Amino acid sequence: MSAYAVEKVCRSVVMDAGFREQLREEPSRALEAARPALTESERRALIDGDVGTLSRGGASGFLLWQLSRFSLFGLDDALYAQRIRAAYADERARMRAAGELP
Amino acid sequence: MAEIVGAFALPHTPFFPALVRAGGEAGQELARKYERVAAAFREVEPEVIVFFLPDHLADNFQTIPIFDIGAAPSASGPCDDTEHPGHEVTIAVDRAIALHRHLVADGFDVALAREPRLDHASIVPLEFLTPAFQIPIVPIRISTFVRPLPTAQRCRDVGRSVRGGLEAGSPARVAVLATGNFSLEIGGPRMSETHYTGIPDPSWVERIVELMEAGELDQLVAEATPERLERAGAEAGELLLWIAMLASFDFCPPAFVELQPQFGQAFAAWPLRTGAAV
Repeated sequence: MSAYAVEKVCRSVVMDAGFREQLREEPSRALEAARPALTESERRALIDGDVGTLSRGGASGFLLWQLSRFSLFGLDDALYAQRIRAAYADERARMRAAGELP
Repeated sequence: MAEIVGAFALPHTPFFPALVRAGGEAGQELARKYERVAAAFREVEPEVIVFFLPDHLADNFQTIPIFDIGAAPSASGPCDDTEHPGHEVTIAVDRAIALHRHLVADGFDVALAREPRLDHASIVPLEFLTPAFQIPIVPIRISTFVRPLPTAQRCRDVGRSVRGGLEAGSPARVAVLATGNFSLEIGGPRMSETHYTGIPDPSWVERIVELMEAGELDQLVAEATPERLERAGAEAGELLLWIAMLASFDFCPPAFVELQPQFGQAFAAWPLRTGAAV
């Protein structure tokens, strides 16, 4: 996965209101036009709001969260958080056991 | 020769201005904390602000300079769509360029941003500190989001060099500012069980305040290892902004530091100008 290509989409959501609207109206088309080009699986993960997979692929949590901040791809903050926690359930359990997570 | 008349630190949490405007108990308490810093700031009558800032991957994204100085007549912000009114902030451009020259001559490869855009990290604190945006700033940004981060020692050295550059420059009363969290994770795996953010390392937050109150900058720099910052959350690198600021004057315990443990951050002031009172 190209974390940078995914992050650039997320960052454009913040900085470019026009792109944000394109993602709402024609998400597949907007993502196909994104540069650097996204792979099919990256486009699918974005459209599915599969932030767990995208995060595990290396994309910044801060930037991925912008998708839920702007209610894109069916995400809201609660669903976003649920998917990230699920994607890292094992690591979170280990961190908690080691006292590295409250 | 410019004189550093005070050092101040305050949060840039994007929703704080709206919370203050809404009133209520939380808003009033926030307003009190911001005003405490603002009163100490006004007391030392600064003419210029040197502001150590993060960039939330808003202005710097395709290229990530570890350090950069904004040098334009002014900069607009916030550029990151955080629902604040837009502001045009005057930059002390000649001083910014002089500082850049000094830092490069001193061995720091600092980038020069000729058309900088400011994000909420500068606009939120300035809304509280200088509501009329009447004091020109020199924005010095440190990369605190993208790994690898600069080391704490490197940021301390940059802070020292900034002091040297200011002292070599034209006369002015300068306030140095920092902003940012000691522990924070937004949207990442260290979030809390109840929110999309989290404060993964509250004991580190308390330790930082303890070291600042004791005037132990050496120890703070020694303990701010990459591993410790990682454990404190993806956004915890903003401590480096504080360290650069703390190194830009003869570090001493603050006049006050008010912790916000639930947000992993603090308000603090070091009024330095002779005769200044808090």
